[in-house]
Amino acid sequence: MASTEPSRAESSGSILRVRDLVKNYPIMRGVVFKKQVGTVSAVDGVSFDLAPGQTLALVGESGCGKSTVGRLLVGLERPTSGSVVVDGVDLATLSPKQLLEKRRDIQIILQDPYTSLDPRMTVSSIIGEPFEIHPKSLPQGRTKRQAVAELMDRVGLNPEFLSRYPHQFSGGQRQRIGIARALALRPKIIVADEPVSALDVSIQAQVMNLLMDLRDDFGLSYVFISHDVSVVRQIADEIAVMYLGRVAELGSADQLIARPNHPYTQALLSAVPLPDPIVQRTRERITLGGDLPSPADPPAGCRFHTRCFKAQAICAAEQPVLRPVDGAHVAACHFPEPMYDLAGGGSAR
Amino acid sequence: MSSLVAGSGSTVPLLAVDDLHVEFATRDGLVRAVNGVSFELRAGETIAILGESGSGKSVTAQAIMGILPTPPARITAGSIRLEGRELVGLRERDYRGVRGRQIAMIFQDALSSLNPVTCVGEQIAEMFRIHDGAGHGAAKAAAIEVMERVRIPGAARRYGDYPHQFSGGMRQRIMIAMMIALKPQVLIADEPTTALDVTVQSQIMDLLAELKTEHNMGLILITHDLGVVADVAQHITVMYAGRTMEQGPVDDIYSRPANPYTRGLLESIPNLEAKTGRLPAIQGLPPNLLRIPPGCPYNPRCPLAQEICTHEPAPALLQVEGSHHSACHFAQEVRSYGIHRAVQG
Ligand SMILES: Nc1ncnc2c1ncn2[C@@H]1O[C@H](COP(=O)(O)OP(=O)(O)O)[C@@H](O)[C@H]1O
Ligand code: SF4
Ligand code: SF4
Ligand SMILES: [Mg+2]
Repeated sequence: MASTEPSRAESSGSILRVRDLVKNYPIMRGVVFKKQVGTVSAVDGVSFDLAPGQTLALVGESGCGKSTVGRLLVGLERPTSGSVVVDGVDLATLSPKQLLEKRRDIQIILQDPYTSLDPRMTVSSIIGEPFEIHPKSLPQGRTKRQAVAELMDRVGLNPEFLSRYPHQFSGGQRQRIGIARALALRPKIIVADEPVSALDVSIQAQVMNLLMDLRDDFGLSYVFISHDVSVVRQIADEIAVMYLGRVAELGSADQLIARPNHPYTQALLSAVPLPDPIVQRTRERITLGGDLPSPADPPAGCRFHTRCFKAQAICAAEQPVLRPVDGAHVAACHFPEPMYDLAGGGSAR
Repeated sequence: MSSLVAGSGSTVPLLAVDDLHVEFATRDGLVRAVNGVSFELRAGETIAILGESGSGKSVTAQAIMGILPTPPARITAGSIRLEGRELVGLRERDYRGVRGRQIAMIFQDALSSLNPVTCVGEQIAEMFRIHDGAGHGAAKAAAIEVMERVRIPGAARRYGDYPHQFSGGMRQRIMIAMMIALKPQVLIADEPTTALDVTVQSQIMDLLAELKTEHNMGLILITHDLGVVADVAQHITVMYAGRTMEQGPVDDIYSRPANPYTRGLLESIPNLEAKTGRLPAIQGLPPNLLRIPPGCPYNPRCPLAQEICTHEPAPALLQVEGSHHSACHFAQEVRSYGIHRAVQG
């Protein structure tokens, strides 16, 4: 089934273009005379494109670099190298003032609704703060208070609670506060870093539904960062699986989950616990040996080779690059090969 | 999958929790954290206690372990019997012989339960020295043996390493090693894999299941994640607002839930296999335990709630079929609907 879809990497209609993003953190030692004794390779050559109105998910386990990518995208950190192009503008070419202005287009929602909101600020000042920084972005004819009340209403918070403090809200409601704040400047892109991971399943579903509604209503594009493939599945058009700072596999959500080609994606999917005892008992599982290597000392060649069940001699010597396996679906493996039914034995076919 | 013993109701269960009630006296009033939880556990059996945060799972576990902070906590009613022996009201001195030796517990956050300034080998060896009176050499050998048993690579070499030198998954293995050291009859695991990545999660669950079989322990898995326990537990207890909402064999609970809350939970889980668009979420929030609504505690959120659900006292946990029980006025009707997990469309 060769796809005729043009590769997104070549299409020019992207709202976000990320090329060869690299982020290294120095490891420092010494108290008085600090000197660099090593480097943590957090992100190592990540590229992707995001089309308007689409959702691209970055999936991977802790320490794979997905949150670092998120912070680089919104300019909270500067990349070591590589480029982030938002709506045609390369962030690296901007002056600090221009960067501040451009950041209106790309906002971030963070994972932990308990720590990401300032406990001393009222909800009204949290959600309205972006208007202080960008006064011109206040909607025509609205006071800040009105604008905040409208945002609260839009995300399902009672506008009467304007002057309450974060601790007076539940986890799900706090996440709604974070979402309202991110929406204030009418961004084009929202980077959502584990937005529902700290929430209980019933509340998770409410917040996911809200994110989907907002995407459709405002024509938003999302970069959705999560460790939870089942959650990602519900919102993503495309999925990029990351391992130790690199993209292992990237493709449409449907293809990648139905026919993963990279051994790491295969192991990850097979380990997702499914809420069905009968399927769970019979499905095929790939158990990975060993521990995640340290990003301060990543394995040479394919970074996954120390845990890969298919590794050959070449894997330790040569770094595999992303190559098409099926149309726009790409995998970074010397021996890509599709596996089927890892998502539960095909009971939904 | 249940063993022969699990099916027979006549023998004395290893652990029996009956109508347990726990309250906390706080500045704002009485927090009714546990309001009637009952379950039984047999040797060699795994049960899961499922519920969202604040549903009283951890308080129940702390009550069993005898580690509730009293005050503010107080067990106001109910019993906890270990092989028929009542633990509620047991003096602290006597509880010390139970804790660790007969009932052990592992926590979500292994890092904060381990001592950061003592090497892990010593911490395990100490269990053998204090509880078994083993000498230094014997304790060290025993510690290395259990470290090997939980598959810590290079156990002897890593004896002297400190907790922060291990990954999250390895630290959880160390916790498990400490807890199985004294071969307890009951092991309680409170969210043991919640902080771990999925590929590590399954390794830890496999290890727990293996150790349970090997030592013929009773295993209680406490979790908010309906996926993690699906294939590991034989019986499930679903909690809401400190009450047991539903209880029964795992296959019945997942395929034919007899309680609207369980059904709501199952339906709101995102499906890995298919993109379903909007999820059928449960509306509203769990109740404030200072002000639990009258009647069935789930009634403000329940799509099936009728007048009886607010006017009558909370429904009792009644038999649906066999060992399947539900606390709902409409248990049989709910069960006959089955669940409608969203599929592609
Ligand atoms: N020391 C304490 N003081 C007051 N309330 C407490 C204390 N410990 C737990 N609680 C309350 O008991 C309720 C149940 O908590 P818990 O058993 O931890 O739920 P779960 O483990 O299901 O998330 C919560 O509302 C919690 O706030
Ligand atoms: S390149 Fe080799 S080690 Fe890497 S994923 Fe492919 S088979 Fe495994
Ligand atoms: S008793 Fe009523 S409110 Fe409670 S779960 Fe059953 S139907 Fe819903
Ligand atoms: Mg808990």
